[in-house]
Amino acid sequence: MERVIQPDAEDAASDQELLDRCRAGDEKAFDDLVLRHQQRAFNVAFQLLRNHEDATEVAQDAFVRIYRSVEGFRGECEFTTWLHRIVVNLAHNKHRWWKRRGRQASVSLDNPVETADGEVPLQVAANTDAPDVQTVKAEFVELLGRRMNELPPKLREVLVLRNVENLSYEQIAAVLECSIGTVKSRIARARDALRESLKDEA
Amino acid sequence: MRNCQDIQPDLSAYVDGELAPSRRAEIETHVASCSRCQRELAGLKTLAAGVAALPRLQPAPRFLAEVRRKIAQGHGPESISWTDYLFRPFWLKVSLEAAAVILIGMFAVRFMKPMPAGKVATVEMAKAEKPSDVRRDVRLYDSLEPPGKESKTEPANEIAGESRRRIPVVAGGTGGLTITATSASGAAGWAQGLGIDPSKLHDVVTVSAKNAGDVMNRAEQLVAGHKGRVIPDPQSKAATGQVFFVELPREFAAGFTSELLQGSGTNALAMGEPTVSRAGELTGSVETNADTRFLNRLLLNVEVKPPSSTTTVLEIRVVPPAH
Repeated sequence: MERVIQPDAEDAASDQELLDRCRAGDEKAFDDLVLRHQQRAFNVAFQLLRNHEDATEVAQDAFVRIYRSVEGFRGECEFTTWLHRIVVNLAHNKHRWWKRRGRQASVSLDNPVETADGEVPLQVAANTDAPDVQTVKAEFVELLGRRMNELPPKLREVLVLRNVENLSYEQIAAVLECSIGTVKSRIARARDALRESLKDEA
Repeated sequence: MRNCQDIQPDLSAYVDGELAPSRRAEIETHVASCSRCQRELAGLKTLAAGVAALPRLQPAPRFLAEVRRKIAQGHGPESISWTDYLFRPFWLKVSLEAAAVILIGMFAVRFMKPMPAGKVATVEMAKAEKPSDVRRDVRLYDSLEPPGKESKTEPANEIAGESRRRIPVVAGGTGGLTITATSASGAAGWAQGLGIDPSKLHDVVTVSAKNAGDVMNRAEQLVAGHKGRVIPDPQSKAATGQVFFVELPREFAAGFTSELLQGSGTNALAMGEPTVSRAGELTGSVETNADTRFLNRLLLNVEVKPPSSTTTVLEIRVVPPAH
């Protein structure tokens, strides 16, 4: 079941080296970057939008944007920070786009819909680095997913970056281009809001 | 020992391992002895673990191919268009915009509607003159109407806000001669037919005299010394009064007027007291005459406008003496 594409341990080329080769016109280097980070981009987009098609579109558009801006990127931050930033911003735009059309994009994880390609996305393992993951019940996680969907985007994205992507506060601050204090307070507020929401359910 | 209110705001960051060691120690010390904060902490840990356990999905196998296709086709990330900003959400934006348009429309109708022409004239007259002055002014003007000139052109001028401004000025001389100096815009079109620049046409000097020819001769003598000229009106007839024009350097206009009236030896027009009750619309009368300037200041309380050109044109109207 696990088809997560991870960079090989012996893969010597770092993101920065691949970027340098992209700038030099090496198309294969760009393909390697996409294959290495497509799951990360897709997952963040999916957690933010809770919709397969929208998440696919946002993640693909993020790479299109990277391809077009690679000349201007001079390694001011990690490549993954840059990628996360673009995905979060595009997801934000997509969310507003739907909001203006009066729709909250939401698809239950229990019934994954077919994508435009007619393929059903495969579910893969959760982030096993997080503490106590194994002890959380499946129903609780499913409920949490729905409640996450009701959070304001700014609160949802800090939780996703923290607990799904396992980024530090400092890394989140770099992605969102805000202070660490803001990240800290937003995460605390997001958790408070989630707990309140779950209390109602109980 | 810290209390719960001091500890709880940092419990979330504690779960994430984002606190400095000293703060971390404070929290651990408190939580060890506080069941409430222990429950709080357990709840936060469960929550963080729950979010971390959210299922991941595999992107479609053709993900890279799609990225390549979008790049090749020049596809750009979807952005929010101006129509979205204007019309989404439809029910809210459109109703707000409709309300704004109606308000702006009402505002425009209220403040930009032009007043009817007649109203302008009425307001102007009411503001400027006492009713008795208006009547007297109109009567006098009618009696001076040059032959061939349509009297209906005068109301048209009045509507356009060009109603004549008449101010009686007491000139020197023992005869107690009264003249009326009137801004002559009403005669502008008429004068233009005689080759006179209407912008120079400022004042009307009304002279009461039996023989109009004498007045014109006298005027010719006076202007000859001042580089001026007399422009007769060929259509003017003695039956209703003679009208001619005098063009001369502006600075000689006042002296000319005064000398013309003194020299004409005529009786005064019975115009009553030369009182002036109107606020000043006198434009370019006998401006260089110090006495008149003083009079204007005193009676009209106006600043006399500086001359706009070097020469000025006076309209001289000769009317038969009143009996």
